[in-house]
Amino acid sequence: MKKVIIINLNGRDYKVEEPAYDLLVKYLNQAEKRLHNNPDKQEIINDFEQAIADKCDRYLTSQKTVVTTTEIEKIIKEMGPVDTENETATADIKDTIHSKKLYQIKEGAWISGVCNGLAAYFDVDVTIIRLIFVIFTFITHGLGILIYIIMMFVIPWADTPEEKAAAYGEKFTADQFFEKASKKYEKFREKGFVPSSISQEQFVENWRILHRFGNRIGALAIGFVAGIVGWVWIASLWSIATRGTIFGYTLGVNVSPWITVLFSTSLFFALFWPLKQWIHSTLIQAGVHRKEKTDRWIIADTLGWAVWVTAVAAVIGLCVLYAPGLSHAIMHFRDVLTHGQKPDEWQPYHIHINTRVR
Amino acid sequence: MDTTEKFGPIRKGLLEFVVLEVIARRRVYAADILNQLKETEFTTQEGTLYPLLSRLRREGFLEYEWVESEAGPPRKYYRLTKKGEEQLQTLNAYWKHIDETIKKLGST
Repeated sequence: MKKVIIINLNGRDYKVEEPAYDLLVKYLNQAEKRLHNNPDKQEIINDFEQAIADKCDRYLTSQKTVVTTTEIEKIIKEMGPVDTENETATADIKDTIHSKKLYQIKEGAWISGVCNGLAAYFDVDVTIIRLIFVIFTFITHGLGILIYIIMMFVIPWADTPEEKAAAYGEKFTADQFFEKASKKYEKFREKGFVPSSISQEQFVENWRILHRFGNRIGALAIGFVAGIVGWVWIASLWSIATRGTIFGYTLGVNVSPWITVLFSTSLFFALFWPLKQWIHSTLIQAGVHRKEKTDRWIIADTLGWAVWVTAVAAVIGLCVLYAPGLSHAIMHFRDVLTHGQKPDEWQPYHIHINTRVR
Repeated sequence: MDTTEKFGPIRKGLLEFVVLEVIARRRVYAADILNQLKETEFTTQEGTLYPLLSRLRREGFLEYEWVESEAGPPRKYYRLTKKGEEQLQTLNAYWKHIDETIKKLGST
């Protein structure tokens, strides 16, 4: 006893043995594949099914209602493979695309795919292109970056298989061409606009990349400044420890070194904390840091700002308290700039307030 | 390679010509075409014929109408169009011309 499958051939039902069913499925799938580019594909498939049905009828009687596997094998042999070699009319559509086009290639790209695309176009190694770019940027004091950004916006990305092949100058087969055409049509129907080489999506994507990259550079710059602030602070502490003055300046004659330390540290924190926050928010925009929402982090953040307020208050307070000392330092600093005096050669500054003889 | 094999490509190229001749003689169903060709050197299969008929129809040489039959589904009944008849004349003329050319090349 064998399993039987009921199939629908062009509207009529036929009972076939299971292996016969598999053979028919294979035959019709192959037919569909070979007729892929044919505008009459469905009609021809229907004709095939009808022909198969007619041949099945020859093997069926009122007593024998199932078509056997052997019979189906015969039928398929009679039908013959789908032969599309007589299709001269569609040959033009199947022309292979063989020109090389400049695209940006996203696969394996460092930033946007510009160097990748250039490398594919000129048939050289990506690393060489990148090296040339970097050296060129150095030589031209940054013009290379501008050129790169222009390229990022002007050169389209190779999205479809056909474009990717064209980016490397490879030959391209018709099947893939039709796949691409149907995909593009689907996209057109879905999105409602014609996908040109720089579509809205790609433009926005470009901006996102630049934005993130710019934010990283920005964070780097701010970090650099913060680093200098920190470095100066450490140096000032060292200076206080060894000489009791901040690089030769002092708040006043009898000021305790601890007050000086407090001043220096408060000033440092007042400058450093906002910078740190700025870096953090920039890096969030760059997509590097996550926006923290844990309680611990919120507490630490609030505490940090509270301390910052205290530090600012301390700096202002100390400035007011020790104004003369500070103004000494400022005026002396002015002298250093104009007369080139070294800090440690500082002579007491004579204040001429209220000593003018009338 | 025997003669039959050697002339394979020629027969293949002539299939279109031959099919048009068959349809020109009288209206036919696809199965009739296969039957008529079965006894000749141009015997062919559904897998080849149906795509060919489809293309000839796209090119405007053929047309068909659906004809009901008592014990089955309706079938396509093919005949030549005006354009198809002209095409057949052109092919016939070309065929005669080639024939003469070959004769001339052989005789001198």
